[in-house]
Amino acid sequence: MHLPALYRRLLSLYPADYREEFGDEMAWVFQQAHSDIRRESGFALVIFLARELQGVLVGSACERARGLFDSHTHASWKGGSMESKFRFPRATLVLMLLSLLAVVLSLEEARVVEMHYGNKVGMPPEWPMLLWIFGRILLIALVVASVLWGIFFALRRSGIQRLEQLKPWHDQK
Amino acid sequence: MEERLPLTEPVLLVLLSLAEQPRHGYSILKDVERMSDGRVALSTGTLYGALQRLLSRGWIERFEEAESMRDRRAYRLTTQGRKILQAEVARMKHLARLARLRTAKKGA
Repeated sequence: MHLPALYRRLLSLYPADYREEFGDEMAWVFQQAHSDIRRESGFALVIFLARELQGVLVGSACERARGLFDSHTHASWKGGSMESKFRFPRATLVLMLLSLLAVVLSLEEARVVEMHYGNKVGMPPEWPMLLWIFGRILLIALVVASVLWGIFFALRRSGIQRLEQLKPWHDQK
Repeated sequence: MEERLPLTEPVLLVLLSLAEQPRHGYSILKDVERMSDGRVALSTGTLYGALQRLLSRGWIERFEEAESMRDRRAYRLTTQGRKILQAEVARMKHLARLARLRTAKKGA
């Protein structure tokens, strides 16, 4: 398979709308750059291919991440304003997963504490176990903080703060 | 505007390339390499990632040239993009002047 054709295949790592917007241009630019570099040494070709591969892998990962956290960005490439006033951000999915993780960790923590101290009332806990528990509490605090941040982020992205700016219909007339 | 500064070197070079004249993607790639004496060699993926960010910020715009194919659309600087570039150049000039003054005092 020719390298430009292989590069076009690699572009499928990008989100579909990004590919639709830039895919043809990227394939053409790669083809031009590739035909230039073929006149140089084999080492230059290897460096070029490594750079292009890294560019596609990092670029597509960034675009996928951006698509997950910033669902309105894609509309703005095309100059149009396709943002809806109230939307369900995809970050909410991440938030739900974090919440689930926090619940599972809390249940696991409760089970460990119950197992170790359930029948040792009044006995001082040993240090390694204390450190272990503190570490887990820290982890839970981190997850809870992420969840709280996620809630604020989701609310802000959902446009709920704009509710305050809404005027009754009769005021707008 | 200042909160977007400083610009990264690839973004600065892309803007400088478009400040001279509108260009296609491949032309930007070659111009950036030429301006940096081969030190900054952007991959196609990196270039289009930067172009997409610049488009979404409204610093550049894409346009179709007459008799142009879809895979050869060109980019040009917007008024906002030019202002950002001027602000960045002014910031760098200030830093260079400061560095010259401080290093001159040290040497004296």
